[in-house]
Amino acid sequence: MIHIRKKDSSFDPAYCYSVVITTNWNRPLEEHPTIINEPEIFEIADCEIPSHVQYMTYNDIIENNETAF
Amino acid sequence: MEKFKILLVALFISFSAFGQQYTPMTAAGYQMKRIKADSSLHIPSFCGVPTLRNSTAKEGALAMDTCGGYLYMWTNANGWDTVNVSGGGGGSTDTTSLSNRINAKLSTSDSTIYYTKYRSDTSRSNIYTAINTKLNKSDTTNAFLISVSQPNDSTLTFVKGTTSTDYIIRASTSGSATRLVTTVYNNTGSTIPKGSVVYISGRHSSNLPTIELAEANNENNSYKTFAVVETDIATSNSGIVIQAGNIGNLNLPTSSYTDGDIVYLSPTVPGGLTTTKPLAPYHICKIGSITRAHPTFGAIEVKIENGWEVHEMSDVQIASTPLDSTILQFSRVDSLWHDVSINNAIGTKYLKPSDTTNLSNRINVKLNASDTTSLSNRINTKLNSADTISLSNRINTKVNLSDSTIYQTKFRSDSARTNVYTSLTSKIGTSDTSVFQRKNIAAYSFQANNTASSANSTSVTYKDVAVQTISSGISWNGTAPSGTANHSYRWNQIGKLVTFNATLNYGTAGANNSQLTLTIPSDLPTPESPTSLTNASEMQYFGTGSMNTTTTGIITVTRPVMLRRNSSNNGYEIIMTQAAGTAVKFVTLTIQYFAQ
Repeated sequence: MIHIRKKDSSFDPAYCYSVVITTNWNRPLEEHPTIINEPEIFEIADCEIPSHVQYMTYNDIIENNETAF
Repeated sequence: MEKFKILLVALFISFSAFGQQYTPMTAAGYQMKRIKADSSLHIPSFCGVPTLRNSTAKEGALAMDTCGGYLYMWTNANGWDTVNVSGGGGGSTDTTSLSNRINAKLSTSDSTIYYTKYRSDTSRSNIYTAINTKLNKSDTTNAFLISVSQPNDSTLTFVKGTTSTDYIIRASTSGSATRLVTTVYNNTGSTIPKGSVVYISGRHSSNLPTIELAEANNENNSYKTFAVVETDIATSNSGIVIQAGNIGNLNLPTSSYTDGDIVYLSPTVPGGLTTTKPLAPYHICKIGSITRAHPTFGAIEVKIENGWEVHEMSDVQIASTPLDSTILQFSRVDSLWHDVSINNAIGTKYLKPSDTTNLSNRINVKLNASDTTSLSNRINTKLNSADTISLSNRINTKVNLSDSTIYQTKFRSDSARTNVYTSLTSKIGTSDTSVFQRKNIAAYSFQANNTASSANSTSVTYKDVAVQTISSGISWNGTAPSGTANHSYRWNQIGKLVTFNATLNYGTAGANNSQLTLTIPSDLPTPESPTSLTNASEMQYFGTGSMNTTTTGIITVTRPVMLRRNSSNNGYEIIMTQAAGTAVKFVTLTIQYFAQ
């Protein structure tokens, strides 16, 4: 199925496969903020989602490089 | 002849004279007082049955049938009747027997004619009735047996008409004998009372057997025991004795007898009974069974069984009075038991007093005399000669001293074992039957007492699960960390309390990560919801954790962790949050909850 994923996603279970939750997004995926704002990080993929997937709810927050704690 | 001629002349003259004066003949004809014929009287002749030719004189007439040879006689009462010249009238030409002549008239072959013609109805009825009593006329269907056959040893088949009936001989007890009795004679000089047990002592001149009272005091008085007297038999009288079957109306009071008792020939009272089984030196002779204990209507089912002496057995061949101290020994030579002395019985197989050889020889018999080696060698054979250690050690090997249980069981007296048992009981608590169960307890459990008082322990859950990999169920807010995934979790349960720890370690940090959602792994126990917190997304338990970009950084701020029901309320998830989104690469969290 078509979805938005992080470009560094991998089908290898030892690596992450990160998919953006677009359940409530009714417009084309190409217009999703992740694709518009961070095309170098996210991409649209049309393939099966592997079982080791992790999901993310994209918040339109400017990335900061704060190192926690 | 001359007279006749004169008569004819006279008649002629008379008739001529008469003819001169014609007188018509009357219808009855001429009447004459008498006729005396000198030579012959010619009477009217006919060929066939005569006629009276209209004569009115019918008192009687004679005529002759010259064709048939009959003399006819007329009477008004019977008309013409005949007398045959060949068969009737007692003529000598009828030479057949009287019986044949009667048969000709009676036609004996025609019983109907016989009865009809010659018997009155009354007579016939009487005869019929008389015959019926003999012929059983009422049995009109199967009046006579057609055949009798014997299809087998106990059946007779009677065939009457079309009916076949089988009669089974002794098919039921109703027709069977219930007693076996014998008529005997009492010549003892005294009355033998009813119920006395007797034996046959000889023969009386009446050819009846004579009897005497039996007694179980010795063989001679008991082994011939024959029957029980049915009723008192006075001396010099005959009577009945019962060999088998019921005898009643006896004095068998319930104070001394019980229904079903076996009665034996008394060893102390001649002809008497006892319920006490006579033992040697008395002779046992069973008389029967009490079928009714009653002082006047007592009854015994007689079935006499004389006891056998050893020498009377068919496979025993001993002297009627064996020698003292002999024993019974079986011989396979003739398959009989014999009375033999002890010496002969032992033979050469065992030590015996008559063996006057020295003790060592006797021992040799027991120790395998063919073994010519030394005694110690012989002993070694028994005690495992390869075992060169001391005798006591060898004994220990057998006794197994190290195994105290076996030792005590095998080699201690009962009292010693009881003492040992008693001493052990206080240590191992034999009264506590669940003690030994503690050695083998249920899976994932330990024993505990969760009551307010002293009690036997009960099984409580204990489960410590090794580290496992998290491969799914992770969701992030913000850009999820990625790259190499080293995610793991571990949990254990003690009682109802479950402790869960998870670690997420990424190769690449995420961005703006403010919340981590982790579906609890499926192997974790189902949480028990606190009271009233059973709706979707409602919080259940609280924990703590940390989000960081490094695994080596010092954690100074903890992040809240909560376990809640998911939004569909069909599962549970762990939420970990931080107020501002940051790049997260490493997560650790711990939460405890109570399982259902």
